[in-house]
Amino acid sequence: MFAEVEKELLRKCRAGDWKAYEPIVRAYEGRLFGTAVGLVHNAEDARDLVQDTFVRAFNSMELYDPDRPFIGWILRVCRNICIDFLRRRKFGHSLEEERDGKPLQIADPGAETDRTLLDKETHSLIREALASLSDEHREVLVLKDMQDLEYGEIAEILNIPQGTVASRVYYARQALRQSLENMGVEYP
Amino acid sequence: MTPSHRDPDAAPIGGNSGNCHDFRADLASFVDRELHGADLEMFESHLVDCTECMREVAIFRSLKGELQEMGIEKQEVPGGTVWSGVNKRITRPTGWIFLVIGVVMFLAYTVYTFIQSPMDLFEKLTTGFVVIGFVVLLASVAYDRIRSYKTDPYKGVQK
Repeated sequence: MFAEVEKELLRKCRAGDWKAYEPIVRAYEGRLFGTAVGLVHNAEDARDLVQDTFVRAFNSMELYDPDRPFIGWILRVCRNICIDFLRRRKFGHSLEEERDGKPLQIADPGAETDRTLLDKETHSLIREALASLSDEHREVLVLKDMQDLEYGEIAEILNIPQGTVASRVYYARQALRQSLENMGVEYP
Repeated sequence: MTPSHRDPDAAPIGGNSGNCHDFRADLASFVDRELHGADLEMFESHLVDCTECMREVAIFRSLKGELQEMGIEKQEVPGGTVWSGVNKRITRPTGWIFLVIGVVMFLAYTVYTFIQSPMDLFEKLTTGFVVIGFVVLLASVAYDRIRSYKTDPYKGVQK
C-alpha cells in the first residue's frame, strides 16, 4: 500500500470512519497472523488474536502517532495481546498437561503447501524448537527473522534499547540452536 | 550497529580466546546486517582468522534462513480475511449506544406518563414499589454475574 494512501486511510480511521479500515486490515492481516502464529503456535488462536488486535487498534487509534510507521505500532499491539493470551493460556495448559500427562501438540499453520517433505520436516523441527524457547526469545526471533524488522523497529515495539535487542537476538539464536541440537539436529 | 548502541550487559558465550569473546557480542548484528563502520571492519577482520566464529555465523545464517522461509508474508490467514469479524465488532458498540439511548428515553417517557396518569396515590405507590423492587433485584443479579465472570479463573479454559 502506498504510504500516502495509507496515511489518508488512517486519518479517516482516526476520525471514526470504519469503512476506511478495511484496506488497512486486509493489507496487514497476513503479517500480523504470522507474528501471532509464531508467538502462540496455534492457527485458530492466532486468527482470533489478529481480530482482537485490529479491534483494539481501531478503538485506540488516537494513540497512534501518524508520523511513525503504522506496522510498528500495530505489531506492538499484536505482541501485547499475544503475550496476555500466553499468560492466560499457561494456566489452562498446565491443567491440561496435568490431566493428560503429556504436552500439547503444536499446530502446523501451513500444512497444505508445495514444500518438500524435507522442508516440512525441518520446519516442523524448528517450530518445535521455537515453541520450547522462552516468550522473550521467541518474540525477538519472530520479529527479526520471520517479520524481517530492523533492530530499531524491534526496540520500539518491545520498548527496550537497541543494544538489548542485539544481545537478545544472539541469545535467542543460541537457545534455538541448543534446542535443535537436543532434538538430534547436527550442523556440519 | 554503532558502538553507542551496544548493550553494556551484552556478554555472549565464551569463545576460544579473549578476542573471540569480545567479537561474539556483534555476531547476531553481523548476520542481520546491523553492524556498520569500524565495528563491521573489525568483525570482518576477526572473522578471517577465527574458524569458530565463522562456523557460528554460518549456523546463525542457516537458522535465520529457515525462519525467514517460514515467515509470515507467505502465510494466508486460514478461513479468509478477518475483516468481517473486525467489522462486526467495531460497529457493534454504535448499535448498543443507540439501543441504550432508546431504552432510557422510553423509560423516562413511561415514568412521566405514569406520574401524570389520573390513578390515585395508593395505586401509583403500589405499582412503583413493585417495579422498583423488580429492577433492583434484576440489577443485583446482573452485577453478581458480571463480577463472577470477571474473576473467573477458568473462563479461558475449554470445557
